[in-house]
Amino acid sequence: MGLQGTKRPVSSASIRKPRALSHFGRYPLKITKDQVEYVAHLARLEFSEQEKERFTTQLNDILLYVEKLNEVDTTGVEPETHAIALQNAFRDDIVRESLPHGLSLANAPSESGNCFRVPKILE
Amino acid sequence: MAYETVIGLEVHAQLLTASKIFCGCSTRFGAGPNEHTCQICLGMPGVLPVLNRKVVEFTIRMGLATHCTINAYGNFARKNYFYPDLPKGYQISQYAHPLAERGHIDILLDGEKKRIGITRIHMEEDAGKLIHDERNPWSYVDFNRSGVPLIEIVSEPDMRSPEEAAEYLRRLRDILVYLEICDGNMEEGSFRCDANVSIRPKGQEAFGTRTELKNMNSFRNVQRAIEYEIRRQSYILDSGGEVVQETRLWDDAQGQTHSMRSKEEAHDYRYFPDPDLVPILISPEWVEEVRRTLPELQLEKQDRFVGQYGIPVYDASVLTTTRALADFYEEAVKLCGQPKIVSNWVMGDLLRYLNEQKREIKDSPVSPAHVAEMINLIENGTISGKIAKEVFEEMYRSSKKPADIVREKGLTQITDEGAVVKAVEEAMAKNPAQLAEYRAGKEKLFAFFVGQVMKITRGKANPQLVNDLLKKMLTGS
Ligand SMILES: [Zn+2]
Repeated sequence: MGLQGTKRPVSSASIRKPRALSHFGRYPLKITKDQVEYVAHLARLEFSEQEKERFTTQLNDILLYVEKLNEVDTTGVEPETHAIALQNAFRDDIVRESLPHGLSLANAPSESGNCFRVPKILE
Repeated sequence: MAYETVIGLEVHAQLLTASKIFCGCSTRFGAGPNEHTCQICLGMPGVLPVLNRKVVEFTIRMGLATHCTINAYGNFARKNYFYPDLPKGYQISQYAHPLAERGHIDILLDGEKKRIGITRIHMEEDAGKLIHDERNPWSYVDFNRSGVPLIEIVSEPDMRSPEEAAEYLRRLRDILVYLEICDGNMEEGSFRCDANVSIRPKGQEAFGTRTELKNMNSFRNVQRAIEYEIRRQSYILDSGGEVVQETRLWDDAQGQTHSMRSKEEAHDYRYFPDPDLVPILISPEWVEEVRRTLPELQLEKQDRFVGQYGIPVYDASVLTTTRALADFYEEAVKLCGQPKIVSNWVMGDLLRYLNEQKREIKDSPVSPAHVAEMINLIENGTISGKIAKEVFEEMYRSSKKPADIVREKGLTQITDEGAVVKAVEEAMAKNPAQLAEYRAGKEKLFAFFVGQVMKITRGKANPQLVNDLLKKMLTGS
Protein backbone atom coordinates (compact mmCIF):
# COMPACT_ATOMS: atom_id res chain seq x y z
CA MET A 1 0.00 0.00 0.00
CA GLY A 2 1.27 3.47 -0.80
CA LEU A 3 0.94 6.74 1.00
CA GLN A 4 -2.67 7.46 1.69
CA GLY A 5 -4.65 10.64 1.83
CA THR A 6 -5.38 12.52 5.00
CA LYS A 7 -8.35 11.55 7.09
CA ARG A 8 -9.56 15.10 7.32
CA PRO A 9 -7.75 17.66 5.17
CA VAL A 10 -7.62 21.16 6.58
CA SER A 11 -7.88 23.72 3.82
CA SER A 12 -6.28 26.59 5.68
CA ALA A 13 -2.93 24.80 5.74
CA SER A 14 0.23 26.79 5.43
CA ILE A 15 1.72 24.13 3.18
CA ARG A 16 -0.72 22.41 0.92
CA LYS A 17 -0.61 18.80 0.03
CA PRO A 18 0.34 18.31 -3.62
CA ARG A 19 -2.41 16.56 -5.51
CA ALA A 20 -0.33 13.93 -7.22
CA LEU A 21 0.71 12.37 -3.91
CA SER A 22 -2.54 10.53 -3.43
CA HIS A 23 -1.87 8.59 -6.64
CA PHE A 24 1.50 7.45 -5.39
CA GLY A 25 2.39 3.97 -6.54
CA ARG A 26 -0.49 3.55 -8.90
CA TYR A 27 0.46 5.63 -11.88
CA PRO A 28 3.75 6.34 -13.65
CA LEU A 29 5.60 8.54 -11.23
CA LYS A 30 7.06 11.92 -11.38
CA ILE A 31 8.11 13.32 -8.06
CA THR A 32 8.07 17.09 -8.08
CA LYS A 33 10.03 19.50 -5.94
CA ASP A 34 6.71 20.53 -4.35
CA GLN A 35 6.28 17.02 -3.07
CA VAL A 36 9.79 16.91 -1.66
CA GLU A 37 9.11 20.16 0.18
CA TYR A 38 5.81 18.85 1.46
CA VAL A 39 7.24 15.58 2.77
CA ALA A 40 10.20 17.41 4.26
CA HIS A 41 7.82 19.71 6.08
CA LEU A 42 5.84 16.79 7.50
CA ALA A 43 9.10 15.28 8.74
CA ARG A 44 10.17 18.67 10.14
CA LEU A 45 13.28 18.69 7.94
CA GLU A 46 14.78 21.77 6.33
CA PHE A 47 16.71 21.54 3.11
CA SER A 48 18.60 23.98 0.90
CA GLU A 49 17.37 24.55 -2.67
CA GLN A 50 20.28 22.46 -3.88
CA GLU A 51 19.37 19.57 -1.62
CA LYS A 52 15.74 19.72 -2.69
CA GLU A 53 16.79 19.39 -6.35
CA ARG A 54 19.07 16.49 -5.52
CA PHE A 55 16.45 14.63 -3.47
CA THR A 56 13.85 15.14 -6.19
CA THR A 57 16.13 13.42 -8.68
CA GLN A 58 17.11 10.68 -6.25
CA LEU A 59 13.56 9.94 -5.18
CA ASN A 60 12.50 9.72 -8.80
CA ASP A 61 15.31 7.28 -9.50
CA ILE A 62 14.38 5.12 -6.51
CA LEU A 63 10.69 5.05 -7.34
CA LEU A 64 11.35 4.33 -11.00
CA TYR A 65 13.50 1.42 -9.93
CA VAL A 66 10.71 0.09 -7.71
CA GLU A 67 8.37 0.53 -10.68
CA LYS A 68 10.03 -2.53 -12.14
CA LEU A 69 7.85 -4.57 -9.76
CA ASN A 70 4.86 -3.58 -11.87
CA GLU A 71 6.29 -5.67 -14.68
CA VAL A 72 5.76 -8.83 -12.62
CA ASP A 73 2.53 -10.67 -13.28
CA THR A 74 0.70 -10.73 -9.94
CA THR A 75 -2.59 -12.13 -11.18
CA GLY A 76 -4.16 -14.18 -8.39
CA VAL A 77 -1.67 -13.04 -5.75
CA GLU A 78 -3.25 -11.41 -2.68
CA PRO A 79 -1.68 -8.11 -1.63
CA GLU A 80 0.42 -8.62 1.48
CA THR A 81 1.85 -6.24 4.01
CA HIS A 82 4.27 -8.79 5.44
CA ALA A 83 7.08 -10.88 4.06
CA ILE A 84 6.17 -13.80 6.31
CA ALA A 85 2.83 -15.55 6.38
CA LEU A 86 2.00 -15.15 10.05
CA GLN A 87 -1.26 -14.09 11.69
CA ASN A 88 -2.67 -13.68 15.15
CA ALA A 89 0.50 -13.26 17.17
CA PHE A 90 -0.95 -12.48 20.58
CA ARG A 91 0.23 -12.16 24.15
CA ASP A 92 -1.87 -12.87 27.21
CA ASP A 93 -2.99 -9.94 29.35
CA ILE A 94 -0.31 -10.38 31.99
CA VAL A 95 1.57 -7.54 33.64
CA ARG A 96 5.33 -7.78 33.34
CA GLU A 97 7.85 -5.67 35.11
CA SER A 98 8.51 -2.30 33.53
CA LEU A 99 11.99 -0.82 33.19
CA PRO A 100 13.75 -0.38 36.53
CA HIS A 101 13.32 3.03 38.07
CA GLY A 102 15.38 5.67 36.33
CA LEU A 103 16.31 3.54 33.34
CA SER A 104 13.35 4.81 31.31
CA LEU A 105 14.86 8.27 31.46
CA ALA A 106 18.47 7.17 30.91
CA ASN A 107 18.47 8.45 27.32
CA ALA A 108 16.44 11.57 27.98
CA PRO A 109 18.26 14.71 26.76
CA SER A 110 16.56 16.59 29.55
CA GLU A 111 14.50 15.49 32.52
CA SER A 112 12.82 16.79 35.61
CA GLY A 113 10.87 15.08 38.39
CA ASN A 114 11.07 11.68 36.62
CA CYS A 115 9.51 13.24 33.54
CA PHE A 116 11.00 13.89 30.13
CA ARG A 117 11.40 17.63 29.76
CA VAL A 118 10.51 19.12 26.38
CA PRO A 119 10.00 22.62 24.97
CA LYS A 120 6.48 23.73 25.76
CA ILE A 121 3.91 23.23 23.02
CA LEU A 122 0.49 24.56 23.77
CA GLU A 123 -2.62 23.51 21.93
CA MET B 1 -33.35 31.29 9.47
CA ALA B 2 -34.34 27.95 10.93
CA TYR B 3 -31.51 25.44 10.97
CA GLU B 4 -31.19 21.75 11.59
CA THR B 5 -28.23 20.51 13.60
CA VAL B 6 -26.19 17.50 12.53
CA ILE B 7 -23.97 15.82 15.12
CA GLY B 8 -21.60 12.88 14.94
CA LEU B 9 -19.54 11.73 17.90
CA GLU B 10 -16.13 10.10 18.23
CA VAL B 11 -15.67 8.38 21.55
CA HIS B 12 -12.43 7.06 22.97
CA ALA B 13 -12.88 4.43 25.66
CA GLN B 14 -10.00 3.12 27.73
CA LEU B 15 -10.16 -0.65 28.03
CA LEU B 16 -9.93 -2.33 31.43
CA THR B 17 -7.00 -4.63 30.70
CA ALA B 18 -4.29 -5.28 33.28
CA SER B 19 -1.43 -4.67 30.83
CA LYS B 20 -0.94 -2.31 27.91
CA ILE B 21 -1.93 -3.07 24.32
CA PHE B 22 1.52 -4.00 22.95
CA CYS B 23 3.70 -4.58 26.06
CA GLY B 24 3.43 -5.99 29.57
CA CYS B 25 3.53 -2.65 31.40
CA SER B 26 0.72 -2.11 33.88
CA THR B 27 -2.23 0.12 32.97
CA ARG B 28 -2.89 0.92 36.64
CA PHE B 29 -3.59 4.56 37.33
CA GLY B 30 -1.66 6.52 39.94
CA ALA B 31 1.94 5.30 39.63
CA GLY B 32 4.83 7.77 39.72
CA PRO B 33 5.76 9.40 36.39
CA ASN B 34 7.22 6.96 33.84
CA GLU B 35 7.18 4.03 36.27
CA HIS B 36 5.00 1.98 33.95
CA THR B 37 7.16 2.26 30.87
CA CYS B 38 9.46 -0.02 28.89
CA GLN B 39 11.35 -0.06 25.59
CA ILE B 40 8.13 -0.78 23.67
CA CYS B 41 5.83 1.91 25.05
CA LEU B 42 8.70 4.42 25.03
CA GLY B 43 9.16 3.76 21.32
CA MET B 44 12.81 2.67 21.43
CA PRO B 45 14.19 1.51 18.07
CA GLY B 46 14.26 -2.21 17.31
CA VAL B 47 11.54 -3.38 19.69
CA LEU B 48 8.63 -5.58 18.67
CA PRO B 49 5.09 -4.83 19.85
CA VAL B 50 2.86 -7.88 20.44
CA LEU B 51 -0.91 -7.48 20.60
CA ASN B 52 -2.74 -8.15 23.87
CA ARG B 53 -5.41 -10.77 23.05
CA LYS B 54 -7.82 -9.32 25.60
CA VAL B 55 -7.92 -6.01 23.70
CA VAL B 56 -9.26 -7.90 20.67
CA GLU B 57 -11.80 -9.78 22.80
CA PHE B 58 -13.04 -6.59 24.48
CA THR B 59 -13.39 -4.87 21.11
CA ILE B 60 -15.36 -7.81 19.69
CA ARG B 61 -17.57 -7.60 22.79
CA MET B 62 -18.35 -3.94 22.15
CA GLY B 63 -18.85 -4.64 18.44
CA LEU B 64 -21.40 -7.34 19.18
CA ALA B 65 -23.19 -5.31 21.84
CA THR B 66 -23.65 -2.49 19.30
CA HIS B 67 -24.81 -4.83 16.50
CA CYS B 68 -21.69 -4.33 14.38
CA THR B 69 -20.27 -6.64 11.77
CA ILE B 70 -17.04 -8.13 13.11
CA ASN B 71 -14.56 -8.08 10.26
CA ALA B 72 -12.77 -11.35 9.56
CA TYR B 73 -9.59 -9.50 8.63
CA GLY B 74 -8.02 -6.68 10.61
CA ASN B 75 -4.67 -5.00 10.80
CA PHE B 76 -2.88 -2.08 12.41
CA ALA B 77 -1.66 1.06 10.72
CA ARG B 78 0.74 3.80 11.71
CA LYS B 79 -0.74 7.26 12.04
CA ASN B 80 2.19 9.60 11.62
CA TYR B 81 2.45 12.95 13.36
CA PHE B 82 4.77 14.76 15.73
CA TYR B 83 3.76 15.65 19.23
CA PRO B 84 5.82 15.35 22.43
CA ASP B 85 3.37 12.89 24.01
CA LEU B 86 3.87 10.47 21.11
CA PRO B 87 7.26 8.79 21.58
CA LYS B 88 7.51 6.95 18.25
CA GLY B 89 6.36 9.79 16.01
CA TYR B 90 3.36 7.65 15.10
CA GLN B 91 0.37 6.19 16.87
CA ILE B 92 -0.49 2.56 16.23
CA SER B 93 -4.14 2.53 15.22
CA GLN B 94 -6.47 0.80 12.78
CA TYR B 95 -7.30 2.48 9.51
CA ALA B 96 -8.41 0.59 6.44
CA HIS B 97 -9.41 -2.55 8.35
CA PRO B 98 -11.11 -1.76 11.66
CA LEU B 99 -12.29 -4.61 13.84
CA ALA B 100 -15.99 -3.76 13.78
CA GLU B 101 -18.21 -1.75 11.42
CA ARG B 102 -21.80 -0.77 10.62
CA GLY B 103 -23.64 -1.16 13.92
CA HIS B 104 -26.15 0.87 15.88
CA ILE B 105 -27.55 1.59 19.29
CA ASP B 106 -31.04 2.74 20.20
CA ILE B 107 -31.60 5.77 22.38
CA LEU B 108 -34.77 6.76 24.19
CA LEU B 109 -35.67 10.44 24.38
CA ASP B 110 -39.03 11.74 25.62
CA GLY B 111 -40.42 8.26 25.25
CA GLU B 112 -39.36 8.02 21.62
CA LYS B 113 -36.88 5.49 20.36
CA LYS B 114 -34.25 6.58 17.87
CA ARG B 115 -31.55 4.52 16.19
CA ILE B 116 -28.03 5.97 15.98
CA GLY B 117 -25.65 4.31 13.54
CA ILE B 118 -22.15 3.23 14.52
CA THR B 119 -19.74 3.69 11.62
CA ARG B 120 -16.81 1.76 13.05
CA ILE B 121 -15.02 0.61 16.18
CA HIS B 122 -11.25 0.26 16.09
CA MET B 123 -8.39 -0.44 18.48
CA GLU B 124 -5.50 1.92 19.12
CA GLU B 125 -2.92 2.92 21.68
CA ASP B 126 -3.18 5.97 23.92
CA ALA B 127 -0.49 8.66 23.99
CA GLY B 128 1.46 9.91 27.03
CA LYS B 129 0.50 12.82 29.23
CA LEU B 130 1.90 16.34 29.00
CA ILE B 131 2.17 18.52 32.06
CA HIS B 132 2.80 22.17 31.23
CA ASP B 133 5.08 24.32 33.35
CA GLU B 134 3.22 27.44 34.48
CA ARG B 135 6.28 29.68 34.64
CA ASN B 136 8.91 28.19 32.34
CA PRO B 137 8.84 27.34 28.64
CA TRP B 138 8.81 23.62 29.42
CA SER B 139 6.45 20.72 29.36
CA TYR B 140 6.97 17.45 31.20
CA VAL B 141 6.09 14.11 29.65
CA ASP B 142 4.83 11.09 31.56
CA PHE B 143 4.55 8.00 29.34
CA ASN B 144 2.62 5.80 31.79
CA ARG B 145 -0.47 6.19 29.62
CA SER B 146 1.45 5.58 26.40
CA GLY B 147 0.28 2.24 25.01
CA VAL B 148 -2.81 1.94 27.20
CA PRO B 149 -5.47 0.27 25.01
CA LEU B 150 -8.31 2.38 23.63
CA ILE B 151 -11.20 1.73 21.36
CA GLU B 152 -12.49 4.52 19.19
CA ILE B 153 -16.22 4.36 18.49
CA VAL B 154 -17.29 6.55 15.58
CA SER B 155 -20.98 7.31 15.14
CA GLU B 156 -22.85 8.24 11.99
CA PRO B 157 -23.93 11.91 11.82
CA ASP B 158 -27.35 10.79 13.02
CA MET B 159 -27.96 13.06 15.99
CA ARG B 160 -30.04 16.20 15.58
CA SER B 161 -29.85 17.89 18.99
CA PRO B 162 -27.47 18.29 21.93
CA GLU B 163 -29.92 16.22 24.02
CA GLU B 164 -29.72 13.34 21.56
CA ALA B 165 -25.93 13.52 21.62
CA ALA B 166 -25.85 13.43 25.43
CA GLU B 167 -28.30 10.53 25.53
CA TYR B 168 -26.29 8.58 22.94
CA LEU B 169 -23.18 9.12 25.05
CA ARG B 170 -24.92 7.91 28.21
CA ARG B 171 -26.18 4.79 26.46
CA LEU B 172 -22.75 4.11 25.02
CA ARG B 173 -21.16 4.48 28.41
CA ASP B 174 -23.77 2.25 30.05
CA ILE B 175 -23.01 -0.46 27.50
CA LEU B 176 -19.23 -0.22 28.03
CA VAL B 177 -19.65 -0.37 31.79
CA TYR B 178 -22.13 -3.26 31.58
CA LEU B 179 -19.69 -5.16 29.39
CA GLU B 180 -17.03 -4.50 32.05
CA ILE B 181 -14.55 -3.34 29.43
CA CYS B 182 -14.30 0.35 30.49
CA ASP B 183 -14.96 2.17 33.76
CA GLY B 184 -16.65 5.02 31.85
CA ASN B 185 -15.13 7.77 33.97
CA MET B 186 -15.30 10.96 31.94
CA GLU B 187 -13.66 13.22 34.53
CA GLU B 188 -10.58 10.96 34.71
CA GLY B 189 -10.48 10.63 30.94
CA SER B 190 -11.16 6.93 30.53
CA PHE B 191 -14.20 7.89 28.44
CA ARG B 192 -13.58 10.84 26.10
CA CYS B 193 -15.70 12.43 23.44
CA ASP B 194 -15.11 14.65 20.41
CA ALA B 195 -18.11 16.07 18.58
CA ASN B 196 -18.49 16.96 14.91
CA VAL B 197 -21.14 19.65 14.65
CA SER B 198 -22.67 21.37 11.65
CA ILE B 199 -25.95 23.10 10.86
CA ARG B 200 -27.95 23.35 7.63
CA PRO B 201 -31.08 25.26 6.65
CA LYS B 202 -34.16 23.16 7.47
CA GLY B 203 -35.07 20.99 4.51
CA GLN B 204 -31.63 21.13 2.91
CA GLU B 205 -30.11 17.75 2.18
CA ALA B 206 -26.40 18.64 1.95
CA PHE B 207 -24.46 18.90 5.21
CA GLY B 208 -23.08 22.25 6.27
CA THR B 209 -19.40 22.81 7.10
CA ARG B 210 -18.60 21.10 10.38
CA THR B 211 -16.34 21.93 13.27
CA GLU B 212 -14.78 19.39 15.59
CA LEU B 213 -15.22 20.09 19.31
CA LYS B 214 -12.73 18.76 21.85
CA ASN B 215 -11.94 19.04 25.55
CA MET B 216 -15.35 18.30 27.05
CA ASN B 217 -14.95 16.22 30.18
CA SER B 218 -18.52 15.64 31.30
CA PHE B 219 -21.88 14.82 29.74
CA ARG B 220 -23.10 18.25 30.69
CA ASN B 221 -20.16 19.94 28.98
CA VAL B 222 -20.69 17.95 25.79
CA GLN B 223 -24.23 19.25 25.73
CA ARG B 224 -23.22 22.81 26.59
CA ALA B 225 -20.41 22.88 24.01
CA ILE B 226 -22.72 21.68 21.24
CA GLU B 227 -25.39 24.20 22.27
CA TYR B 228 -22.84 26.98 22.14
CA GLU B 229 -21.50 25.80 18.79
CA ILE B 230 -24.99 25.75 17.26
CA ARG B 231 -25.56 29.34 18.39
CA ARG B 232 -22.15 30.39 17.06
CA GLN B 233 -22.65 28.78 13.66
CA SER B 234 -26.22 30.12 13.35
CA TYR B 235 -24.95 33.61 14.07
CA ILE B 236 -22.24 33.30 11.40
CA LEU B 237 -24.67 32.04 8.75
CA ASP B 238 -27.37 34.57 9.66
CA SER B 239 -24.90 37.41 9.22
CA GLY B 240 -23.86 36.13 5.80
CA GLY B 241 -20.58 34.52 6.84
CA GLU B 242 -19.14 31.07 6.31
CA VAL B 243 -18.31 28.46 8.94
CA VAL B 244 -14.64 27.47 8.83
CA GLN B 245 -13.85 23.78 9.13
CA GLU B 246 -11.59 23.58 12.15
CA THR B 247 -11.00 22.05 15.54
CA ARG B 248 -12.36 24.03 18.47
CA LEU B 249 -11.64 23.61 22.16
CA TRP B 250 -14.38 23.88 24.78
CA ASP B 251 -13.55 26.32 27.55
CA ASP B 252 -15.58 25.28 30.57
CA ALA B 253 -14.93 28.42 32.61
CA GLN B 254 -15.97 30.78 29.82
CA GLY B 255 -18.68 28.54 28.42
CA GLN B 256 -17.34 29.00 24.88
CA THR B 257 -15.47 27.14 22.17
CA HIS B 258 -12.18 28.54 20.86
CA SER B 259 -10.40 27.89 17.61
CA MET B 260 -7.31 25.70 18.00
CA ARG B 261 -5.06 27.79 15.81
CA SER B 262 -1.93 25.69 16.14
CA LYS B 263 -3.74 22.76 14.57
CA GLU B 264 -4.66 24.65 11.43
CA GLU B 265 -1.53 23.32 9.85
CA ALA B 266 -1.97 20.54 7.35
CA HIS B 267 -2.69 17.16 8.86
CA ASP B 268 -1.48 14.38 6.71
CA TYR B 269 -1.18 11.27 8.80
CA ARG B 270 0.26 9.11 5.99
CA TYR B 271 -1.34 5.97 7.36
CA PHE B 272 0.33 2.76 6.27
CA PRO B 273 0.16 -0.82 7.58
CA ASP B 274 2.43 -1.37 10.56
CA PRO B 275 5.02 -3.94 9.49
CA ASP B 276 5.72 -4.87 13.14
CA LEU B 277 2.23 -6.24 13.69
CA VAL B 278 0.82 -9.21 11.82
CA PRO B 279 -2.75 -9.32 10.52
CA ILE B 280 -5.59 -10.35 12.81
CA LEU B 281 -7.89 -13.06 11.49
CA ILE B 282 -11.09 -13.44 13.45
CA SER B 283 -12.87 -16.72 12.94
CA PRO B 284 -16.65 -17.08 13.28
CA GLU B 285 -15.92 -19.49 16.16
CA TRP B 286 -14.05 -16.78 18.05
CA VAL B 287 -16.91 -14.33 17.53
CA GLU B 288 -19.40 -16.93 18.80
CA GLU B 289 -17.24 -17.66 21.81
CA VAL B 290 -17.25 -13.97 22.74
CA ARG B 291 -20.98 -13.73 22.04
CA ARG B 292 -21.64 -16.48 24.58
CA THR B 293 -19.86 -14.48 27.29
CA LEU B 294 -21.84 -11.29 26.60
CA PRO B 295 -23.76 -10.21 29.68
CA GLU B 296 -27.39 -9.17 29.55
CA LEU B 297 -27.42 -5.45 28.70
CA GLN B 298 -29.35 -2.76 30.54
CA LEU B 299 -32.47 -2.58 28.36
CA GLU B 300 -32.77 -6.37 28.18
CA LYS B 301 -32.40 -6.59 31.93
CA GLN B 302 -34.97 -3.85 32.46
CA ASP B 303 -37.51 -5.71 30.31
CA ARG B 304 -36.80 -8.96 32.14
CA PHE B 305 -37.23 -7.33 35.58
CA VAL B 306 -40.64 -5.99 34.55
CA GLY B 307 -41.75 -9.39 33.28
CA GLN B 308 -40.15 -11.62 35.87
CA TYR B 309 -40.66 -9.56 39.03
CA GLY B 310 -43.77 -7.63 38.09
CA ILE B 311 -42.24 -4.30 39.10
CA PRO B 312 -43.02 -0.99 37.32
CA VAL B 313 -40.83 0.06 34.35
CA TYR B 314 -39.59 3.01 36.37
CA ASP B 315 -38.36 0.73 39.19
CA ALA B 316 -36.74 -1.59 36.67
CA SER B 317 -34.94 1.27 34.92
CA VAL B 318 -33.54 2.59 38.22
CA LEU B 319 -32.53 -0.86 39.47
CA THR B 320 -30.68 -1.67 36.24
CA THR B 321 -28.69 1.57 36.14
CA THR B 322 -25.59 -0.47 36.90
CA ARG B 323 -24.93 -4.17 36.81
CA ALA B 324 -23.85 -4.12 40.46
CA LEU B 325 -27.14 -2.58 41.59
CA ALA B 326 -29.17 -5.01 39.47
CA ASP B 327 -27.20 -7.93 40.93
CA PHE B 328 -27.77 -6.59 44.46
CA TYR B 329 -31.49 -6.39 43.84
CA GLU B 330 -31.78 -9.85 42.34
CA GLU B 331 -29.78 -11.40 45.17
CA ALA B 332 -32.05 -9.84 47.78
CA VAL B 333 -35.18 -10.94 45.91
CA LYS B 334 -33.81 -14.47 45.67
CA LEU B 335 -33.36 -14.55 49.45
CA CYS B 336 -36.75 -13.22 50.49
CA GLY B 337 -39.04 -13.60 47.47
CA GLN B 338 -40.55 -10.11 47.71
CA PRO B 339 -39.65 -8.25 44.48
CA LYS B 340 -41.73 -5.11 45.02
CA ILE B 341 -40.83 -4.72 48.69
CA VAL B 342 -37.12 -5.18 47.95
CA SER B 343 -37.43 -2.60 45.17
CA ASN B 344 -38.99 -0.10 47.59
CA TRP B 345 -36.25 -0.52 50.17
CA VAL B 346 -33.39 -0.47 47.64
CA MET B 347 -34.70 2.50 45.65
CA GLY B 348 -35.86 4.33 48.73
CA ASP B 349 -33.71 3.97 51.79
CA LEU B 350 -30.59 2.31 50.39
CA LEU B 351 -30.05 4.56 47.36
CA ARG B 352 -30.87 7.63 49.44
CA TYR B 353 -28.22 6.79 52.03
CA LEU B 354 -25.68 5.88 49.33
CA ASN B 355 -26.33 9.04 47.32
CA GLU B 356 -26.04 11.20 50.42
CA GLN B 357 -22.53 9.88 50.95
CA LYS B 358 -21.73 9.59 47.22
CA ARG B 359 -21.03 5.90 47.75
CA GLU B 360 -21.40 3.22 45.14
CA ILE B 361 -23.43 0.09 45.56
CA LYS B 362 -20.30 -2.05 45.68
CA ASP B 363 -19.28 -0.15 48.82
CA SER B 364 -22.67 -0.50 50.45
CA PRO B 365 -22.45 -1.35 54.17
CA VAL B 366 -25.78 -3.16 53.79
CA SER B 367 -25.72 -6.48 51.92
CA PRO B 368 -28.52 -8.12 49.92
CA ALA B 369 -28.74 -10.69 52.74
CA HIS B 370 -29.31 -7.88 55.26
CA VAL B 371 -32.15 -6.42 53.22
CA ALA B 372 -33.75 -9.84 52.69
CA GLU B 373 -33.48 -10.73 56.38
CA MET B 374 -35.02 -7.44 57.40
CA ILE B 375 -37.93 -7.92 55.01
CA ASN B 376 -38.44 -11.41 56.45
CA LEU B 377 -38.58 -9.87 59.92
CA ILE B 378 -41.37 -7.58 58.75
CA GLU B 379 -43.19 -10.40 57.01
CA ASN B 380 -43.16 -12.75 60.01
CA GLY B 381 -44.34 -9.96 62.30
CA THR B 382 -41.16 -9.58 64.35
CA ILE B 383 -40.93 -5.89 63.53
CA SER B 384 -43.33 -3.38 62.06
CA GLY B 385 -42.63 -1.49 58.84
CA LYS B 386 -42.10 1.64 60.88
CA ILE B 387 -39.52 0.04 63.15
CA ALA B 388 -37.86 -1.39 60.04
CA LYS B 389 -36.91 2.16 59.00
CA GLU B 390 -35.00 2.48 62.25
CA VAL B 391 -33.43 -0.96 61.81
CA PHE B 392 -32.37 -0.07 58.27
CA GLU B 393 -30.69 3.12 59.37
CA GLU B 394 -28.77 1.28 62.08
CA MET B 395 -27.92 -1.51 59.66
CA TYR B 396 -26.48 1.03 57.21
CA ARG B 397 -24.52 2.71 59.99
CA SER B 398 -23.05 -0.40 61.63
CA SER B 399 -23.37 -3.20 59.04
CA LYS B 400 -24.90 -5.33 61.81
CA LYS B 401 -27.41 -8.06 61.03
CA PRO B 402 -31.01 -6.85 61.37
CA ALA B 403 -31.94 -9.65 63.83
CA ASP B 404 -29.06 -8.58 66.09
CA ILE B 405 -30.14 -4.94 65.93
CA VAL B 406 -33.72 -5.89 66.81
CA ARG B 407 -32.52 -7.98 69.78
CA GLU B 408 -29.96 -5.45 71.06
CA LYS B 409 -32.34 -2.52 70.86
CA GLY B 410 -35.38 -4.49 72.01
CA LEU B 411 -37.32 -3.58 68.90
CA THR B 412 -39.32 -6.79 68.64
CA GLN B 413 -42.91 -6.05 67.79
CA ILE B 414 -45.44 -6.47 70.56
CA THR B 415 -47.93 -9.01 69.31
CA ASP B 416 -49.05 -10.12 72.74
CA GLU B 417 -52.68 -9.04 73.03
CA GLY B 418 -52.51 -8.50 76.80
CA ALA B 419 -49.63 -6.06 76.48
CA VAL B 420 -51.36 -4.04 73.77
CA VAL B 421 -54.66 -4.00 75.76
CA LYS B 422 -52.71 -2.49 78.63
CA ALA B 423 -51.28 0.19 76.39
CA VAL B 424 -54.74 1.00 74.99
CA GLU B 425 -56.14 1.26 78.53
CA GLU B 426 -53.31 3.61 79.46
CA ALA B 427 -53.95 5.79 76.42
CA MET B 428 -57.64 6.00 77.23
CA ALA B 429 -57.00 6.78 80.90
CA LYS B 430 -54.55 9.56 80.05
CA ASN B 431 -56.86 11.27 77.55
CA PRO B 432 -60.38 11.30 78.99
CA ALA B 433 -61.40 14.47 77.11
CA GLN B 434 -60.46 13.05 73.71
CA LEU B 435 -62.17 9.78 74.62
CA ALA B 436 -65.38 11.58 75.36
CA GLU B 437 -65.21 13.54 72.12
CA TYR B 438 -64.57 10.36 70.17
CA ARG B 439 -67.50 8.67 71.77
CA ALA B 440 -69.60 11.73 70.93
CA GLY B 441 -68.87 11.10 67.25
CA LYS B 442 -65.54 12.78 66.46
CA GLU B 443 -64.13 9.76 64.66
CA LYS B 444 -61.10 11.65 63.39
CA LEU B 445 -59.62 11.14 66.86
CA PHE B 446 -59.05 7.46 66.08
CA ALA B 447 -55.68 8.34 64.58
CA PHE B 448 -54.81 10.29 67.69
CA PHE B 449 -55.28 7.18 69.82
CA VAL B 450 -53.23 5.07 67.40
CA GLY B 451 -50.43 7.60 67.88
CA GLN B 452 -50.79 7.48 71.67
CA VAL B 453 -50.60 3.69 71.79
CA MET B 454 -47.56 3.70 69.52
CA LYS B 455 -45.92 6.29 71.71
CA ILE B 456 -46.53 4.18 74.83
CA THR B 457 -45.14 1.05 73.15
CA ARG B 458 -42.29 3.02 71.53
CA GLY B 459 -43.60 2.10 68.11
CA LYS B 460 -43.32 -1.60 68.71
CA ALA B 461 -47.00 -2.57 68.91
CA ASN B 462 -48.32 -4.56 65.98
CA PRO B 463 -50.28 -1.94 64.00
CA GLN B 464 -53.07 -4.34 63.00
CA LEU B 465 -53.55 -5.43 66.58
CA VAL B 466 -53.61 -1.82 67.77
CA ASN B 467 -56.29 -1.01 65.20
CA ASP B 468 -58.46 -3.96 66.12
CA LEU B 469 -58.23 -3.37 69.86
CA LEU B 470 -58.79 0.38 69.61
CA LYS B 471 -61.91 -0.13 67.50
CA LYS B 472 -63.29 -2.42 70.14
CA MET B 473 -62.19 -0.62 73.28
CA LEU B 474 -62.75 3.04 72.28
CA THR B 475 -66.44 2.50 71.67
CA GLY B 476 -66.61 0.88 75.09
CA SER B 477 -68.27 -2.22 73.72
ZN1 LIG C 1 5.70 -0.85 28.20
